[in-house]
Amino acid sequence: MRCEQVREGLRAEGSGKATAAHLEGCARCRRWWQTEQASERDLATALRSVPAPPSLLGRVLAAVEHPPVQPMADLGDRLLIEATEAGLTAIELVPEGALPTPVTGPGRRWAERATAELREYLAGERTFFDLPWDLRTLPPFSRRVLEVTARIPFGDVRTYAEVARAIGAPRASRAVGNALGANPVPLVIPCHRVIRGDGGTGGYGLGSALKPRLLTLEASVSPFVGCPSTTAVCRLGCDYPRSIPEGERIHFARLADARAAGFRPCSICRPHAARPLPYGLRA
Amino acid sequence: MEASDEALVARIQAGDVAAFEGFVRRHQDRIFSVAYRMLGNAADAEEAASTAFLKVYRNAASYDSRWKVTTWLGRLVANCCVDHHRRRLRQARRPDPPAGVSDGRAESPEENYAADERRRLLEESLLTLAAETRLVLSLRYAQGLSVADVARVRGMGEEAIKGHLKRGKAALRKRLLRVGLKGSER
Repeated sequence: MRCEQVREGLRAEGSGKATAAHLEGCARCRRWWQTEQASERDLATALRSVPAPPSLLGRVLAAVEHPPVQPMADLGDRLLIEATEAGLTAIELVPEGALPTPVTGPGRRWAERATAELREYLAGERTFFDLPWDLRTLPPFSRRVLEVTARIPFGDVRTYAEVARAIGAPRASRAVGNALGANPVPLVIPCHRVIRGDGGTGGYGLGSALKPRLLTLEASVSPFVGCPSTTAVCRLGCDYPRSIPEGERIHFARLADARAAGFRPCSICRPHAARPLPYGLRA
Repeated sequence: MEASDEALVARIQAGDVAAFEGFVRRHQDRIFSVAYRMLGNAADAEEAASTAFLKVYRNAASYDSRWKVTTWLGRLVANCCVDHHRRRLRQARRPDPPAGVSDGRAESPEENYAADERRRLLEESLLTLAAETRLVLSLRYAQGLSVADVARVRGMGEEAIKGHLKRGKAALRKRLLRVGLKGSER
């Protein structure tokens, strides 16, 4: 009985003075305890013997360095859009919880189209905007900066200095930054694609925290989608490939890849043009 | 002199990715083992282990220094495993065939076969245990936590933990120590 009690106690992972004294005196229990301990070690070894796969570390580090893109669809509900008959005049962010007032008047059709397209863009389902803008009230320098910026492709970036050179004012990086900071139609004119020469993202009119998120979003979306039966390749967001079932669409990261695979650019969204002309405008 | 876990966590709190990498390297085998023993297949285990490590990185700021780092880590991986286990009960992913994880230490085909056989038995037997018992055994033996630490991790009394260990070991012993686990796997 005494032996039984001692073994019970030892099995339950405890050994006090009394059990130690008993082991001292009882050879049978000592032997029993030795085998018991050996099997305990075996169990520990057996359970421990699974090395982590090499992919684990890479997976964890990748997730730390490139956090998953947070959906920004909620932003779509907070965009305040203003437009004239000629095009968009303002895109602003209303505070969280507030609802933007819907646009009435002649600019309404642009505002409604902008709302729909911006939502798709923020959900990673669109890479270009089919919208005109109305920047007549801006000074000529700002207009030039914005026209150049509008041609930066989706997923790409330029530096402030590059934009300054492109408008023929190579010493005006800072002025370019100011003009972009005052961009009345952010997102549609992608001023978030202009970053600092040292790799820093720089400021952003809709909030500096949003800028890297937008760039990450763009980096994570394949901008071209091909339809195998017609061999047309479109920009993501073109109306044409929407009728193709998702399983049959082919996504491309670069237009050159699509062309190499035998696809031809869609004549509606014109993925080969630097910036397609909005439907409503003629050259 | 290696940096202590506490020092590494302090650096991770400051956003030091290199410290985090060191931390993952140091603990990944044990944490993966816990998850693997608990979940029974490598894909789920990798997912649970990486989620646990990501929590270390993201929640480093909320680390409470009254806990040992290993205990805190044990709690993170235990919770990830429990979440995973629950999700799996709804989806039913099957455990790996045991050959999926080979330690490559056996030399001859016979030894290989015997080792595989032992592994298969162990994994099979583990999966017959209740989930909580399996988790407690994994934390105690695969991660190497003390009974008191396992109790903290699971929010139970030490007596309850001892009960799980006792039942689990008795069941495993009954099924496989007899067939010669002893002296193996080293």
